[in-house]
Amino acid sequence: MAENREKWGSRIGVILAVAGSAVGLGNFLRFPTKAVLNGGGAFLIPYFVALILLGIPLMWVEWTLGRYGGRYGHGTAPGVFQKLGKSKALKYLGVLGTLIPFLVLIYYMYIESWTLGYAFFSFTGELFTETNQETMKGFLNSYQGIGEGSSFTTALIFFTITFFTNFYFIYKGLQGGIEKLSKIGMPILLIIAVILAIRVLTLGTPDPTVPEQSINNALGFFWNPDFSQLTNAKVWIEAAGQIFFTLSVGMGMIITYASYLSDKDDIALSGLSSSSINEFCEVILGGSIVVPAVFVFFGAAGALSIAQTGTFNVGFVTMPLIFEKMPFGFVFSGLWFLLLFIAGITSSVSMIQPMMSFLEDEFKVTRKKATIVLGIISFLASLPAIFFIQHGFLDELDFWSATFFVVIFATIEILIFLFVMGINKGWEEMHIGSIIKIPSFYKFILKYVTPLYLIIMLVVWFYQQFIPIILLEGVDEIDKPYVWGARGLILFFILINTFLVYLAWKNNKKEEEGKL
Amino acid sequence: MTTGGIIFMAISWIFIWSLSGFCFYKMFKPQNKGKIGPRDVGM
Repeated sequence: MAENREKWGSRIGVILAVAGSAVGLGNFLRFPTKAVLNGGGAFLIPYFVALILLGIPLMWVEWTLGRYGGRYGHGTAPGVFQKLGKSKALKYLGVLGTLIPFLVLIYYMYIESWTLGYAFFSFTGELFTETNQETMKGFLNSYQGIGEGSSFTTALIFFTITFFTNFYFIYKGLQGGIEKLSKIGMPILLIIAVILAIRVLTLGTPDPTVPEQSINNALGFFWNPDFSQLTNAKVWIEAAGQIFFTLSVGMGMIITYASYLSDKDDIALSGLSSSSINEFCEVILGGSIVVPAVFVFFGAAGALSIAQTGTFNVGFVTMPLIFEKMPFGFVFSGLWFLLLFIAGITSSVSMIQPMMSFLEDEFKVTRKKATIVLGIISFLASLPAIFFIQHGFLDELDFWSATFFVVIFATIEILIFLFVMGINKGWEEMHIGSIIKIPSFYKFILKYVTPLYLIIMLVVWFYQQFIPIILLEGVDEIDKPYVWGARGLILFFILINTFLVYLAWKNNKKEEEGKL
Repeated sequence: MTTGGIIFMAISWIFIWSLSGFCFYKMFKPQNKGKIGPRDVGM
């Protein structure tokens, strides 16, 4: 039993921390863009199907595995998986559970730092010297140090501030850092999101000469269903991908957070509560800000073409232009980027914690040492994503870690839950200390539907995308070395993480044997 | 906004409000507070 591990201070603290981990930039940027491009209101059908059959079951599985592992002093997948069975290979199946959050972290913190920089430039008014899509795009490029005659200085300053803020909360520990951040940050995030949603929904018809660009039509643009899209397999895959992305399942972070629960703490209601907070932020608030705002200022055709340019363009180029046109726009723009920063930091600290937990639990490293070591490594690892962003380095890291590995790891998790832990034991474990009884049909869903859903996703995805991506189809010749560089970095960290798992168990062999 | 759009928006909002409401009701229900234990003073 693990008596010396940290514990959460309150139930609301852990729920807000998990919700904070899930609520990120994707809720306010990625979801509305995906919905508009994939059938509007009709997109919500595959989206909710994926939530009920994939997202919520996986969430419960991760909470269950995490709390189980924490009981024995393991806060990451290698330790949790190994504790469940006798095969020595089990711990290596958990490598992705520490690797994915770390890989996402090294570029996510950089994107998060843009939101801080843009909040600063909104309040100072500097952002509002740009008046159209082209010059605002130029501002973003200049900020990133990739515009003509620009430097990396600004981006590096805000990245460094973001980096130290993240590691400050990590250094302060679970209750004093992450929990406090979530308890303060999440209510602020909700308040800002509500203010922005009200502002957007009360825009009316900003330009009376174009009456069709009204907020009523904007909501129609987002919600009117296009059922023809439902026959397209891509829409179902996109919806399932969004559920993965938004709930942060298949990444290993929830396992770590749940490992700090006490043995008899509820997980059924806590898991459902954190999912519901995330869905509230995504569908209710996320769906009421970006797309309606873009529509009333740019019209249907403009909004569609802007959505097609990607989420970063919507968030960092189009949204500032919209706020420029509003009275007190600098305040709303500042709030918008502050909202994204809070959403970002509550997610990024959760990405640091699995590796911290791994070092603390498996190597018995102190929090201070683990923070310093991990801080140095992640700072250095982030630099290529900053300097080579224009060559697709960041996109490549994002694809492998946040798109491909998460589905693989989720499949591993559910298979281990079903066949190593066993569905009956897992179901029983899920209900220890439970405030609610999970409906019994979920046992059937966990046993058959969720794994089948994941396997179908993987097969379809392999069939549609894997070969072109592996062969770098559509990638410019000049960018190919950088893309291979990103792949090399990923491979390097896979090997390092695997070796660390090997080393940890070698060092703790005697203790491990004693426990078994 | 078409009738279909209104229906989809209403169903989605009702579903999420109900889910959130259910969770908070269960969490803050007096008899469940007892199960939560002293660590939840912060709640």
